[in-house]
Amino acid sequence: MHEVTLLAASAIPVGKIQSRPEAPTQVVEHELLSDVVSQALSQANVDKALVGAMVFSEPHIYTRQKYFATFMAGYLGMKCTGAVMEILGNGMTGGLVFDRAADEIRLGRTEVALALGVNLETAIPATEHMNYTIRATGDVDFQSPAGFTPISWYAMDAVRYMHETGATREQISSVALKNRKHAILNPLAQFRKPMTMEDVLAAKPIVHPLSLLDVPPRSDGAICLVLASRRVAEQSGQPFLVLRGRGSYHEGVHQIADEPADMIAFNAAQRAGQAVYSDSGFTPDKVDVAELYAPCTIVEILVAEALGLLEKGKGAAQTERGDTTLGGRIPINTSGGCQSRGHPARLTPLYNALELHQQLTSQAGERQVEGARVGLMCCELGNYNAALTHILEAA
Amino acid sequence: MIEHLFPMNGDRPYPPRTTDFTQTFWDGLAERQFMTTSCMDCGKKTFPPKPICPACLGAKVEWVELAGKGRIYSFTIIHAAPSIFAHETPYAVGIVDTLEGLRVAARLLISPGRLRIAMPVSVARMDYDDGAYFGFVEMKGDNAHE
Repeated sequence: MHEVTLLAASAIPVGKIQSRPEAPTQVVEHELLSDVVSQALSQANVDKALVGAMVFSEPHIYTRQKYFATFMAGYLGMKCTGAVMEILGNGMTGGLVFDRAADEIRLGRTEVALALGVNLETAIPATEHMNYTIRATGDVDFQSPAGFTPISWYAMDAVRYMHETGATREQISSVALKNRKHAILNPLAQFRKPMTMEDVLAAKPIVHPLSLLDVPPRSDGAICLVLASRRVAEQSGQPFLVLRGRGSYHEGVHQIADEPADMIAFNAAQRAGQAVYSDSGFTPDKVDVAELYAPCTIVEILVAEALGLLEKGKGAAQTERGDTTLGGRIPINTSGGCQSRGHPARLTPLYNALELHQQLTSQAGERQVEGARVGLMCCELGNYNAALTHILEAA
Repeated sequence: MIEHLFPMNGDRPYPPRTTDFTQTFWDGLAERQFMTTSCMDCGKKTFPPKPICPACLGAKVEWVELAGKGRIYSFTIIHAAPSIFAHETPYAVGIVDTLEGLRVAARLLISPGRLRIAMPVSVARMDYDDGAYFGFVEMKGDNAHE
């Protein structure tokens, strides 16, 4: 088994990029991504000829070019000994892309693998997009017809969490304020204007008790990570991270178990957390910074509790008092998280990896976590019915 | 026996498919029965009904009628809905743990202000113009189970 490094990461700022169909000139998927690939390889100081695998997140159905991976291999003239493929796995898509690219190096199929993709969806109104996404987060015959939306499951987590722990709506929404503070310092973030609790509480209700500012915005993005063998990483002369551990777990449930269970324990995240700690030899207290896939405010609290970064049942209060804010005990989502960095859903875990790359190579500028060496990332399927974790360390 | 019939406006926004297997469930709903499958090998009941048992993968299952009663485990109120459901907003959905130890996700036909965790609920047939679906209504008074 070969050691895997994260050598470079380049992306466009998250935001609204997708062209409306009637626009006379269009922003297109392959041009966006080519640019980002070129920048990432230049940052990595790696010759194009060394790239032997390209693992893509599958573009949304709204993206015109199909068989995107092999199309891009042609567009960029990449000759590969390893995988050229697309991956789809709901929120976990970007995490699986990273995981598969790492495997190509681990298995010795190439010394350089790209983990990359485009997510273009903002020209499609949310109310239309949801007609499609309700099919992904529920049984289409026995749940979706009731009108469950993807984030309605998280809203039910919030209602249950408040009932069990006594946490307040304000404590849960303090995640959004914290994430906005971080996003203000992140040039790649979608929302960078200051925000107050009054703004969150006055925002349009979406799924009780969550408002527009507790839930993810619609976002586009394009990103390319360069993963490499240690040999290539060392020769590049660039700072890099070493992949120290990995964990995953699927609890055999889609959205909810068919018998009573503790829905807010996020037991898949607990198990994937135990696995990554065991694989890497690190413990939660050794993690300096964490990027957690958390579309809604409540989700960040629950996954941080499940991963042992916050205390069970006290995560909302601990977030409110600043434990997870930059400068706090364990900074979480210094990128600004899904609510403010933005949520190009099929790329979000790759943007999280980019944030860890910037933090752990001391290139995070004003939002730098001082002395950060160890980073944890985690992403999910469904209502955290499955989780995928990675720990990276500065070389 | 489903006691509550709940009139709905128009057609089902997202009608479910019927298969040779699930026909029994939908026929039952039409006849005011809330049914699911139970494994003839290990006895495990499951919802939604399945032709195989998710506990032991046994393929011998039998249809059983559920009491259709339970308590709310959690809920939410959907204000921002897919366009096909927009005319029904705001509407409540929730997770109900039934007397038989099953967990069911469904529409809650209960006014938002009254919703609370652990509220006793009872299954209702939602009668749309083009067919039926299922949801839960609040159980009140003497009918509310312990």
